[in-house]
Amino acid sequence: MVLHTRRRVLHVAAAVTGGLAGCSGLAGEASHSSRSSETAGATPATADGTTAPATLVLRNESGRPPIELPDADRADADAYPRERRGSRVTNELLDDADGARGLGVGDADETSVLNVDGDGSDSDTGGDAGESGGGSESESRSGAGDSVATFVAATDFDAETLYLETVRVEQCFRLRLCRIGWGAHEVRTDYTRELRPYDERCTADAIAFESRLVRLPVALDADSVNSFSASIGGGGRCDAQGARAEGSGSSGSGSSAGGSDGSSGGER
Amino acid sequence: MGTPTASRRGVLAAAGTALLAGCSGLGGVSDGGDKTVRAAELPDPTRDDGAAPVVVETIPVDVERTLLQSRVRRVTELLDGIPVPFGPREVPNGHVRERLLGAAADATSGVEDARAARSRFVALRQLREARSQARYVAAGWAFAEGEKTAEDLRSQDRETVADAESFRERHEYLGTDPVRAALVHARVERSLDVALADDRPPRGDDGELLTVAEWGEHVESDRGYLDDGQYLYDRYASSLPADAGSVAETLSAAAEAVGSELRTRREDLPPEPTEEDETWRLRYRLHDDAEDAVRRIERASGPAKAVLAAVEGLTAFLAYDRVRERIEDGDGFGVEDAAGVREARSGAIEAIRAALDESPRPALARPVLADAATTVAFADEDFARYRGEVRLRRLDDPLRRYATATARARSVPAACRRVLDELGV
Repeated sequence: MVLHTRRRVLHVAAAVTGGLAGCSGLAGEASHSSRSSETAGATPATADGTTAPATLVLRNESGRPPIELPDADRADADAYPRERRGSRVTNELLDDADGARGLGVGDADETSVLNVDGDGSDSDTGGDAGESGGGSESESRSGAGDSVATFVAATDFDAETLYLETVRVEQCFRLRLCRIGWGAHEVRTDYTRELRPYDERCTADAIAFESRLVRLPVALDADSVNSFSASIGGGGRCDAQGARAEGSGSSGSGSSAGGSDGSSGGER
Repeated sequence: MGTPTASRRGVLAAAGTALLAGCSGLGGVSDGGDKTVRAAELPDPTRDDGAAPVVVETIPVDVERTLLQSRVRRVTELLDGIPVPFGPREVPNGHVRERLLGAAADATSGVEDARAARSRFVALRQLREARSQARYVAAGWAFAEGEKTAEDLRSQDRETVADAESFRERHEYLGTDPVRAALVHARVERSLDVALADDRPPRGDDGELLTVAEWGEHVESDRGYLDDGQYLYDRYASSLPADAGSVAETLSAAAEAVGSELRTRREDLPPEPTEEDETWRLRYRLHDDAEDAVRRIERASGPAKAVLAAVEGLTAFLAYDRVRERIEDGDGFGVEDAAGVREARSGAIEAIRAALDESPRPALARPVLADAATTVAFADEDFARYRGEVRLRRLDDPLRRYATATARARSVPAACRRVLDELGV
């Protein structure tokens, strides 16, 4: 496989809640994802969340993405391209070890390793935590770089693919990944945004970034995956069947605000 | 609707609509195409005759100054002891803090607005909104201090509902003058609607503290409506002669007669306009109002509100007729330049003032005219945002508001006369 450096920037509408009603959620797409996965020779994940892929979640409060791509200028936050700073969602599919090894934590002092997605309040952590590279439960900021390296090293690229998605979020809010769906040509994510507790210190107008490194249990060809979409709903709730897995039959919650395929644009 | 200055959310919502509507360039009332005007030449309410609506609502009840003072005290008491503006030490989450401080600021400015209000009824409404905002802060603060939970507030709301049920039991449609009775009892009906509404409690999406704050706002708003409704009713009832009887039948019959007529006229309404010429949005809006009028009369929660809905509904039909006739006569609503915009505005204001004078019972005309005046004030707020050179097409939405307000205002006296006939006045 080629060294994969292509990026896609999803320009997601600034409004997180409301609007865009009627955009399709994952319901109709999920079955498509499953078919695609089967075509690609992968075993589709089940919808009950127990086989949700291992995910490493890092968050940075200083306005810089916690996980950066190999060629990002880590030494200088200002060098982070403006158009990428401005976009709400950026993503990257890493289908070989060479590309993934370069992933770094740009601003380790300001980056926290959160738990595996669900932020401790969900039932879908469990076994995933141990799978996510041993650093996932660490509160140590200096461990962020190690945890990424360990997570990457534990990935078998013959059978697995890493999906990196970074989402900009207001500092006083956090995200929960409700669902992720994938196929031979697409990756779809569905988040909900929730207000952080009132006694956690944050600045109203400041931004934070959350990066999720998801180990998809399928060897995807990054060059063939050309459709990405992310939706971010409000209210802090995934809907009733909000387990993180492809193929779940539930509809997406909240507004869908993503581009896909050509509309995601922005590749370098 | 509040005044534009008091109801910022309304203004923002209206502004959003304006932007969207203006972008499409469809169905505008301006003829201008790419013509531009200088923003400095557009109506500026702060430069012209003030941003306040030219007519405001009143109520034919002698609202005592001491009552307003006690309502101000309620706001003050709620905010008392809360160290506004507090910082991250007290409420670390900046978003939560901003929400609380924003509500505190709204409560304080609501009191200021009430002091400057042009009628005591408007002041009473502003103070009711202010106390709800103050309670939002107070409840959120009490939660942070560990003193208040959503359950405490729920039980208070149940008390309000019980009190509202008692009030409904004792409320009678007393009156000697059906017009005055309709205006007062409509407020009583409204207060009961709100206090007894089976409205959904806050969902709790914004975390515990803000959920408790929202409960506080909700509880205070319900209590405020009930307090004000009871005050107005008692004050009104005490002004009536001892032998005053019920006007319920009179009000119901009048509303039903008008409703029945409008049902027939609704059948004769031309189909919803579809051709996208320069006036279709205006016609569409007025058509919609007319079509909705019967439903509003039928669904009114009581006979007094039904009578006011009858005035409004007749006005809507007459305004729609008026606009169509004007279009059929080849007399459009086009505006060519800034002077045309200013004329559209002054025309609307003159029409509202004249309608109040011409209506046989101005009090009955006032609610619809106050609404039209608020429409004008919202359009004014739109204009105040423009800077530099502005394409005429972008002014479609505020211009349409002026045209709507004008057509309604001119239709109000006839609508009033008709309802007064039905009331036997």
